[in-house]
Amino acid sequence: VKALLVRALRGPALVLAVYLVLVQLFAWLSAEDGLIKPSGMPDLLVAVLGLGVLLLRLGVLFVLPGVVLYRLIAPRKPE
Amino acid sequence: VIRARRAAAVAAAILAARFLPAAWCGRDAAAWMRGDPALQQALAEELVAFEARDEARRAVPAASDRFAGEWALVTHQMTALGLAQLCLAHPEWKARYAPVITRAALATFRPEMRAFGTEAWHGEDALGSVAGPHGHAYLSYPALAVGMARLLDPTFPKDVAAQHDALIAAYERRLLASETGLIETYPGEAYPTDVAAVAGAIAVHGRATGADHRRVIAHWAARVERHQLHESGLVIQRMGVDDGHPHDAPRGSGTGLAAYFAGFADRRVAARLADGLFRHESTFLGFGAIREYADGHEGSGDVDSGPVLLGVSVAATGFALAPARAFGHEDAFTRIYRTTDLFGLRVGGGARTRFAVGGPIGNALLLAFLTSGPEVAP
Repeated sequence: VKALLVRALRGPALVLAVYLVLVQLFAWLSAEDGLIKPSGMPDLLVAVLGLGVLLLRLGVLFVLPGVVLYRLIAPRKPE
Repeated sequence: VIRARRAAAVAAAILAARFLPAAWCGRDAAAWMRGDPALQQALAEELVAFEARDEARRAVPAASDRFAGEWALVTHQMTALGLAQLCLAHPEWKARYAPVITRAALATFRPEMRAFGTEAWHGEDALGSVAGPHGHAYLSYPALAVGMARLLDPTFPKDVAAQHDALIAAYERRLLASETGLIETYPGEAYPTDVAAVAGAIAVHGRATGADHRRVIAHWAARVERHQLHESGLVIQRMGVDDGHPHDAPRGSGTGLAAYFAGFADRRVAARLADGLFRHESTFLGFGAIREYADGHEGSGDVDSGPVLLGVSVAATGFALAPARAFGHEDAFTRIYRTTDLFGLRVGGGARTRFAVGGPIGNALLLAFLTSGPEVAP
């Protein structure tokens, strides 16, 4: 059971950890202006990071739980 | 057995995608709807910190940059309105927030803050021309904030209050003289949303000073339905002042903000605009968003709507939170809040929280909209 859990959770946990780190980084960098200003994007780094975080957030919320459940329920491939 | 387990795994994954994101993003929706003090205070404190930073920095947008000027003005205005709504809901918070409301409202009234409007009117200052015929409706946003500050802060500076009185008297005269119920924001351009802010500012002035403005509010309310409301239930975004001809489409962003501003003046008009707005809600997997254009109209995003993706606009969706909460559309509020949380990226917690994507203007708007209700006219 432990091996099954490790196999099912290792990849998603890594993605989640990267996402959480990037969220904190984006929150810190965007504290002054957010993602968009009336004159355009604040700067390229914040814009790319912000869009990346939002895309990753969609993946983490809509895809990751399904991946975990699929890995836990679906039969394992023979070794 | 293998095939059955695989099918069950796929079904579980689909169910997870259907229900988990909505549940996670909507986890605070009910608390915002019922006015959870801890959540409200955490966002309010973020705006208090912004006002302190801004006061120290005194950032002034360039007069030639109309959009930067509008954003700066709206940020202070919405901070004042949001905090004022909290004080109406929690009178015990007045000691803490009334000075900040006054500071934010005074910031909106500084001449450099309206320089973009003065430039648009070829050097004519709105407060220097209160006896004139030009609408200058953009200054209703500060006027509304100043009105709320006067309502809540008995120490509000008397010299600014006198300017406010003169501006409100000018708006009242101009609005009563308008057959379409519209006055100009910029030369040749009238926005029903800005005029809803004018009506709101007049009404709040009445509440703060005891002046009777019922005649002008009734005049405006009748003309919203007759001239400004499209059959779709959305208001026309931009119109001709004298002929009332549409210069733009019926749009969700203008209607959402108009519904919020109208609430200060006339509950029935605001509720009617809200009903039209929610007829344009699109939903997906438990998330809600407002379509920017009425059926039969199309266009791209602009400074009013923000980005328009798949027909729905960022601004219309955010603005819809206010009438959803104020008029008890709890299901719509929950769906739209989920979308706000998904893309707004709320960070922090405890003493201070903010939506990282929107920056100060996004947080000020959300404070005003997520706490809307106490300001609505009886």
